[in-house]
Amino acid sequence: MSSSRRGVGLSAFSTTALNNAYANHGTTLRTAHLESLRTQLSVFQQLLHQFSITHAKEIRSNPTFRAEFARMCNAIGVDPLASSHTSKDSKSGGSFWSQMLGGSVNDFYFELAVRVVEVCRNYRGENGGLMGIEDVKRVVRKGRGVVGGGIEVSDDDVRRAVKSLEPLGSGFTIIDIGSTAMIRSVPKELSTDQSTVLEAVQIQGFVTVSMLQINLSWEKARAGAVIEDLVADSLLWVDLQVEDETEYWTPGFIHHSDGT
Amino acid sequence: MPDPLPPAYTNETFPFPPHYSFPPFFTLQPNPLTRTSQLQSWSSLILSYTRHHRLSTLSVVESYNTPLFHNPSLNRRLPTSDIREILTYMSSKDGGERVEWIGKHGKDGGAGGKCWVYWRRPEEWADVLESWVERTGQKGVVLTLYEIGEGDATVGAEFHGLDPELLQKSLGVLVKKGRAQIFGAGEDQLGVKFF
Amino acid sequence: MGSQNSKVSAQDKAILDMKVQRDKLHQYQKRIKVLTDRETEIARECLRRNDKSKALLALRRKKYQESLLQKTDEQLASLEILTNDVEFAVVQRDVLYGLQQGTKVLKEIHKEMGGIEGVERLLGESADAQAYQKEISEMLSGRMTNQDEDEVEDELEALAKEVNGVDIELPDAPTQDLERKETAKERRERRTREREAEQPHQQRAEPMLA
Repeated sequence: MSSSRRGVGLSAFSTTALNNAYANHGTTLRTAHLESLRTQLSVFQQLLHQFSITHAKEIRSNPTFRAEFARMCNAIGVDPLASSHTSKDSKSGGSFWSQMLGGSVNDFYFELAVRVVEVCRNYRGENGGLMGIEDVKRVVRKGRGVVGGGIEVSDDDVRRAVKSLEPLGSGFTIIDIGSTAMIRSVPKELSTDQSTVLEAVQIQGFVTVSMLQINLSWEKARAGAVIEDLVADSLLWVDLQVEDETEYWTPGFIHHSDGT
Repeated sequence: MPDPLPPAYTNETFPFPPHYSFPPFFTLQPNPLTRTSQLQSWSSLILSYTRHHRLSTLSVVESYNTPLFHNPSLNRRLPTSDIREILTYMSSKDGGERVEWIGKHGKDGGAGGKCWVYWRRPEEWADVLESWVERTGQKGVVLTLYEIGEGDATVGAEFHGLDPELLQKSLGVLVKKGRAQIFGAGEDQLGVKFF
Repeated sequence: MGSQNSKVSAQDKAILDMKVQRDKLHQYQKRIKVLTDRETEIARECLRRNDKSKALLALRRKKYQESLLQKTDEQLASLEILTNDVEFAVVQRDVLYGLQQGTKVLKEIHKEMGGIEGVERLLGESADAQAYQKEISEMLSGRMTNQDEDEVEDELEALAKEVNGVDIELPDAPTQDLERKETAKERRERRTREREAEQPHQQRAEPMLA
């Protein structure tokens, strides 16, 4: 490097050198910082990993604990459900984290999601693909395996499991019919009228055409058409042994724990 | 080996499934998907009920008025045509083939429509019988069909009190496999020897 | 059922026949028990009314039925031994004979199981019932051993004690020596007299008995 002009005094020091010196120092600093960060991170990772292993039992058996743990993971940007438990080649940071968290958390939600899909499929003939979270929970609990068999499964667990199915484009979502949360496992969307009737049927378990006419001020034709659609979608059952008028029942009432 | 049977508490109340208390359950559903699910649920109920009460056969006419098809607290009952349809479903491949109509016109209503209900198939009974013979060291011993089904020595065995015709059918399975021989002078004088 | 029984021997068939008879006996025992229980009750009732002869008839019938059962039981027990004999060919003829006898006795038992109505007729007063009772009495006379008749009388006395708390008075009892027990011969003679006394329409000359 040839310097054409040499200054006198302070400028005797080359800027580049100075810059370099500073740069070097900065790098050193950053490197040191990064190192320290890395160390801290690695320590943190270890701790988290240890934590999930030590508390695997609690994670499995205590839904409140599990929910808290999941919330903590999300807070630091980790989704405990992000990846399949079999995937080794990771693209997102998810699998790295899930490996770190230990198999149990991931296994649990994965198993639960599988069970939810199974249950919904089995009952699709009976309820048209619309099943209350409570009912799904009840059936899952009866099962065996990692999930079920007495392991307590909470609403939160089921919701998270269903959410994890969304990216798969499976058509599984959670919708609210009135005050009841339900899992919809068929891609069919409900019209407003249909939703209204499904909400109404929750009250007594059944509706009749007259009931809809009276309570919703609908014309007979409209009430009849909506009911017909719902029956065609397997969302309502028909009872012809009523004296006055045919009653249309929601299959959700089959497993109604309250009554006869 | 089929699952073991709990002791025959035929007087204890049968635990009906939740469907039994659902009024539309007694109306054959118009929607084919719903109907299939309904037929399956009825099939389960019928099999559990007959198993609980140790019934080997059902007659449409006789069972029409029993708690199986008539829920008095709901005031709902299955009409005989629906009962017949369900039993026919149960006799089909899709329905699990655990019902067999007796006589040519059974399912068409002749003689009130009677059928076998195999909550345990003859093949399964054959297993139970064979293992009992093994356990009690009675291979090669001549046994009468009466003593197997009604004898004092078999009280408490799962097959005690079994419908004599079904017992014979079950033993017939073993005969076909060459593991037993049935012989004797007349219908109520039959004996069997296990090999 | 028959032709391809290369695995079923003549001995197996004999064993089966023996067991079938045993099964029948088993069933008959249960049904006869219902009758004999009722007969004992009838005897008691008759004793309460002081109708000794009817009570006796009921107990005789019961005894007869029980002895039939016992006889068959014993026959079958020995048949069972015979049929299981390793040297079956040797005893085969005896076994066949035993089975035939067994069938005969079982037929008799089967007749006795005429039903509870038959038993009830022992109580009846009508001409019809009385004719029936006479018929039974005559039938039994031919078929009961003296030992059986003795045992029936013992049972009658025991029942009477139970019902009345008192020894029953036997008609025509020897008056001279109340403490002396009847000899077997005397007993037989007495019985014959008593039976004839119950049959007022008998046109038989009664020889004087010493």
